[in-house]
Amino acid sequence: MLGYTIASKGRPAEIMVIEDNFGDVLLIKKALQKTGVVANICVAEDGQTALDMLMRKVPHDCAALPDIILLDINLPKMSGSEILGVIKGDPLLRRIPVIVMSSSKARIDISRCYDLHANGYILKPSSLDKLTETINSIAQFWFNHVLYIDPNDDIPAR
Amino acid sequence: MSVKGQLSAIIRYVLIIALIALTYYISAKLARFLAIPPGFATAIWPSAGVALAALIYFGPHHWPGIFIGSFILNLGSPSAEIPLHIAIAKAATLAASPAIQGLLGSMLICRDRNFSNALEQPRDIVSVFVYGGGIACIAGAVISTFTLYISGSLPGHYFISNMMTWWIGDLLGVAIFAPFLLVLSAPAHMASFSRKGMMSFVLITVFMLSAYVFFTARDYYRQVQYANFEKTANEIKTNLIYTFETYMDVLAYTKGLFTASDEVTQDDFNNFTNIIMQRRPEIGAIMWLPYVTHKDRAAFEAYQTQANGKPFQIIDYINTGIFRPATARDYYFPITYISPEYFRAVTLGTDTYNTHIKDGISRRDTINLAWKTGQSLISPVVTVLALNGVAGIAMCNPVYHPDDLARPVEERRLLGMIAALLPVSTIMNTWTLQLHSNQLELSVVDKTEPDKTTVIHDTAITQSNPDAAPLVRSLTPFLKRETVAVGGRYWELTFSENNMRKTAPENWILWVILVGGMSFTAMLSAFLLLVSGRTQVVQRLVTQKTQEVAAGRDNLERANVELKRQYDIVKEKEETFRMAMEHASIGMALVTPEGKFRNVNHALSNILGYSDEELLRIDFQSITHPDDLQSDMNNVNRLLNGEAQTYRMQKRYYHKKGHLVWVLLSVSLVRDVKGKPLYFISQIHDITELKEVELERQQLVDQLIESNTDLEKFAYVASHDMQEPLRMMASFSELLIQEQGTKLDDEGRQYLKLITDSAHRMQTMVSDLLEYARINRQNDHIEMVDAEVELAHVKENLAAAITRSRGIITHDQLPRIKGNPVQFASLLQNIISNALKYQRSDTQPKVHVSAVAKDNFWEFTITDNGIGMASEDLNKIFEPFTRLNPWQQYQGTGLGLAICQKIVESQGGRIWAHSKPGEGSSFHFTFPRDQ
Repeated sequence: MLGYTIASKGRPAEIMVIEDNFGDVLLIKKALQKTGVVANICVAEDGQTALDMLMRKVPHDCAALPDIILLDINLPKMSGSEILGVIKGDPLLRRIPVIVMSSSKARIDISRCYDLHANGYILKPSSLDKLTETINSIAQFWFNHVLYIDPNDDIPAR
Repeated sequence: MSVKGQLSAIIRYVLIIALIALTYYISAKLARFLAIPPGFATAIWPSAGVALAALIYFGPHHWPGIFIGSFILNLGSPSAEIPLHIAIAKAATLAASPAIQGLLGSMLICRDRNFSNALEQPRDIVSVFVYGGGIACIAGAVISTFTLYISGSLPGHYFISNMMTWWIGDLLGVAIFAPFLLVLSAPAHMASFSRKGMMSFVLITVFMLSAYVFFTARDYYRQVQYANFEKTANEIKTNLIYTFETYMDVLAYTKGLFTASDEVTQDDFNNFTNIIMQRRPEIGAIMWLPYVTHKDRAAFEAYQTQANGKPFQIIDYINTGIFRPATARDYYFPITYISPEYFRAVTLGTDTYNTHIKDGISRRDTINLAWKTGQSLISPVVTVLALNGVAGIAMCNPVYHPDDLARPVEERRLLGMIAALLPVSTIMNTWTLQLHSNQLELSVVDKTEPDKTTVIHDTAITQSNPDAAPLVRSLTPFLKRETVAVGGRYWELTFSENNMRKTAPENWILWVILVGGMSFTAMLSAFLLLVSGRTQVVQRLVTQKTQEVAAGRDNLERANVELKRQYDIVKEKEETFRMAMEHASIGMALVTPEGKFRNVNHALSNILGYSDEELLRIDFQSITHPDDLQSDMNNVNRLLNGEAQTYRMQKRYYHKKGHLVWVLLSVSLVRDVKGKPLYFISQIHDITELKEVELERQQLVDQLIESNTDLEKFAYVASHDMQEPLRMMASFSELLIQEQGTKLDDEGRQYLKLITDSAHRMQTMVSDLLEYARINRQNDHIEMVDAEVELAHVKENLAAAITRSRGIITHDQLPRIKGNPVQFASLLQNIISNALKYQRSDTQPKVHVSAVAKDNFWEFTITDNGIGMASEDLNKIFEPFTRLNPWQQYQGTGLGLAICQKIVESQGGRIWAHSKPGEGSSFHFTFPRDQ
């Protein structure tokens, strides 16, 4: 099957945001609004919920699998890197790009995420303008340029 | 060697050989005194010892001396019937045996180059006994016995016993005489006079004693044997006489026949004599010889012709089967009646008075004497022609007229003679058995006529005895000679012992006595040799040592003086050592390899709380803390095994009062000259106080590290978590202005702006604080850093600020350094950004970076033309949150230089600054060089 870009599909991008801070979620949504990107935001407030949703263990309103995951590294219960490890260890989920968002510039934090096959690591911008810029960049790159294989095609029938 | 030398050597050789031959011959002759009669081999043969000693002394190549001596000896005793060339051959063969024996023995013994005549070493003594006595003598005995056997001198059944006798004789001869002679022949410095004397005295004495016992025993047995011999001889003699008397009695009985009646017929005679002849078969014949005068001859012949029924004539016997009518003589004694019957045809009419035949006169004289004396007589030995000329003895008894018996003999009328003929061999053979069963020989010689002796019989000659003619007949055999009167004859009877006696039991007893005595002598000899040899070795050693001692006495005295001097020095050193040890301020001890204290000083006693005496009773193990014991023992073993020369360790002892004492222990091991461990030298330094201080310090350090770690962790966590709310504050106050700003007045918007700015400022501070806290944690990322590359990164990072301030950043060639690249960049960036920041607005910032190598680090210098600082502020600028300027004018967190200092110091470097207000500043820091 040929790859596709999300933009070429003519549907809203499916974005899962794993973030416990409501403020950040709100900021991300605002930033998306400002960029004008059409997207469905699916929010998971902790790692376990996110994994349950991804593995469809709980019913939810979101798409079966998101096109991209924005992952906060600093989460209660499971840490972001743990969640990253589980996702990238799953043969189906590991195709989904995961962009880690962190407030840490520490080398050790960055390298650990890439070691776990993160698809990107960005600093949480300190202002709304910068956030909007960042989100715009992400959308431009991942939605317009990156080719996907539809992950839903490979979901086993149940 | 010159001709003369060779000649003298040959003469010398010949002389020695002659000497050896003579010695051998004489010793052999003397040895025959020790022979046991009659014997083939003597029971002890000293010549074998003489031969061996001579060949050892002069050298084995003198063996011809032995050969010659033995040859002469054996040639001297051949019997006459052996031809000379046979005798020479036999003697030569017999002589070869001792020569080979001596040669073999001496060569075997002299093969050992260390062999010494003095026979001091048991090895030499055993060598003489075994090689010379045992082995060589067996060879000699075998050769000799074979020679005797093959030459026929030795009966086969004596082979083994003779060989044994020969061997033992030679063995004893060697065992007694060879060692003795060898010791005597040894030079005085090898064998002392006293040893020779003692050996001679004891050996000769014992040898003589043994010989004496032997001779005594031999004489005693000879006497016993002789008594037996004499007794047997007497018995036989008596019987012999008695037997002949019996024969004469036979004649007397027969005579009675004729005296009892007038007319005796042939039948009467035969009837009577046949009975006698049956009882005495050795009697050859009994005859009636009537007395016939010449004038009665014809009438007698006629009468007898009529009585016999055939012609009867008185005849003379000329030779066997040849006879003629008797020549005329005064009277005749013809054989008229004769018994046994078969003689009649041959002898009838034969006149026994005929003197013309061999022994005729003897017969006539015997008859005449009997006639004249009236006695029964025996004739000399005569040849009996009728019996093919065998030797015989005749007996005759005169028969007178019965009426005349009362008259004197010369007046009696003779009727005739009763005669008997006794063949000598037949008679004597009846005695041979009895003689030989008593090992006797008997010769009977008729000595009646002094001028004419006749050997009647000799058993030793007539018998064919294979054991005759013994080789060695050293002693005169027993002999008993006696003349007896039988029938008017004087017979000399000679009794002698025969060769059968050699196997008599008495001889074996003698052999045992001799061999036993000589064996004892030999053993004594061996014992004496061993003991005296050892004594001599010891004596010589003693003499030698005594001389050495005497010679060394002066040296010893000198050495003594020297020793005394050394002793004093050592004593003084020891005292010094003792004092040093005693008064040492640290504990000292000498410890045995097992761990016992040998010497201790007061300092040690004070450290451990024990008295000196108490310490000397215990070992170090018992007062060592169990946790330290194993490593201490390991160290001790390393010293004992030579793996280390010294060791040093910190350990704990138990004080006598029970508390622990920390000490610094230094131990070394002292060994003796052979490397055997003697004792440990232990130095014990009480470090209990030091240890306590150290422990305290370590605890403090640990606490400090812990609190620092906690602090850093806190700073990290705090700054990290503090970011979040600040970001929210900043973002949402921003959002509030953007989205709801129209609903606020200017004042409200300014408030929000202040909130936003404060939040951003706080974010920066927290970010810097985070970085500051993180510096130590990143030290694991040390790598090679190119300072120029990092400077380029910094310039990129600061691009906006550089553009805004129109600043110029220059640098010299910068080195590669060792460090964390992020931190190094941060360091440069902080200083350079400060240089750009703290600047008058009308001045173009100029920053220059340079580095110079100093020792093992680089000193970096960053100069600017900024506003500068007051010198009193210079020591404050590196402290966190120090700000020299109002934030509104020069924004900053106050952490930049603190971060710089921490980065530099985390790499072991130093940072400092020079500055003058208004003229600019220079920052200096050091960084490790790329080694």
